[in-house]
Amino acid sequence: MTPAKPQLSYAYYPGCSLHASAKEYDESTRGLFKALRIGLQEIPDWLCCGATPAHNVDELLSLALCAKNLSLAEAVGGDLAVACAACFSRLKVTQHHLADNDAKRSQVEYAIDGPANLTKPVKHLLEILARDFGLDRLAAAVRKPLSGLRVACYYGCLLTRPPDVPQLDCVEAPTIMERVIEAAGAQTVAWSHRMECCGANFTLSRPGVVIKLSGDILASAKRAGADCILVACPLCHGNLDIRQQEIEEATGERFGMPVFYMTQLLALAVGVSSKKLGLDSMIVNPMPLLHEKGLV
Amino acid sequence: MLGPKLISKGKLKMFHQKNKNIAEIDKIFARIEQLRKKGDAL
Repeated sequence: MTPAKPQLSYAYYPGCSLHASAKEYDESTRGLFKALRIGLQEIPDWLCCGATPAHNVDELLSLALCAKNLSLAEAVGGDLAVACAACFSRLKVTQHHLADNDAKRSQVEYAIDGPANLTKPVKHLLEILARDFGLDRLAAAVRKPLSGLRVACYYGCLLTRPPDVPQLDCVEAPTIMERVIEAAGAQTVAWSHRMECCGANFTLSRPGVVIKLSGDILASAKRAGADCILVACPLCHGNLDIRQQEIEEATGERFGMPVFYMTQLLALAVGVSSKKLGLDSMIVNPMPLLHEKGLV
Repeated sequence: MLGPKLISKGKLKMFHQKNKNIAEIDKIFARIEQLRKKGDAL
């Protein structure tokens, strides 16, 4: 008899977006993990990771914020689970930068007023689902297959780059998101813009840049025949969902393309109630599509 | 106008209302400033 796999449990770093503009990502992550019986324990007293702006203006501050979070995570058992692509990137970059740089590390330790414990493995939800939990178990947990749903998986900039840091998947041609959502029964489309930048936090300072870049992404997904776009980053979600109407007005092209967090569709597939997934928080209404596919 | 739409969806909140540990960030920032004054920072 094969011994049962021990139950998975993780320390959880939600980050600021998941407590505000991306609360549906947090709700659906918690719902999905609960349904899969994967433990998530939020790190006590976590801080902002510095996100995309901090390291542009103050490298030491950005490293110190993440080092403090990694040290706080030591209080909770299990590897560190991260949902937001920007938080994931900053935490991994900090581990990478400080691993063999004693001078920087000592300054960071002065800044956080204590030792920098940087050894806890940092894992994006995608690798937890694909590798730790496993695609076979995920497929077996599906109660409502996402059959007939054509999904454009969008990685953006931060999940796989820079090449030697996140090590989530192949930096040039990742497939981890496709494999995860296909395990839930969805059909993925091949498309050209899955790793192009959406404009990220230029959304506030240079919205014209975001409208051009995100418009190209939406047009590419539409050309590929996608019903929806799947993301794992609150910034990407904000640009593709929140700005979609503006993009339509600027380009004259109608998209009406729902943009889901990957955990929303996965949670739906494993039987979590659609009312607990924050679907009503999305700007582009996903309900007509979900009704058409018989998913709600 | 995005603001009213985002507020109606509960997506627009003051950052400092949600971040529980802004005092710790201030402390880290102050210690970095100390390092800079001593000329020891990056």
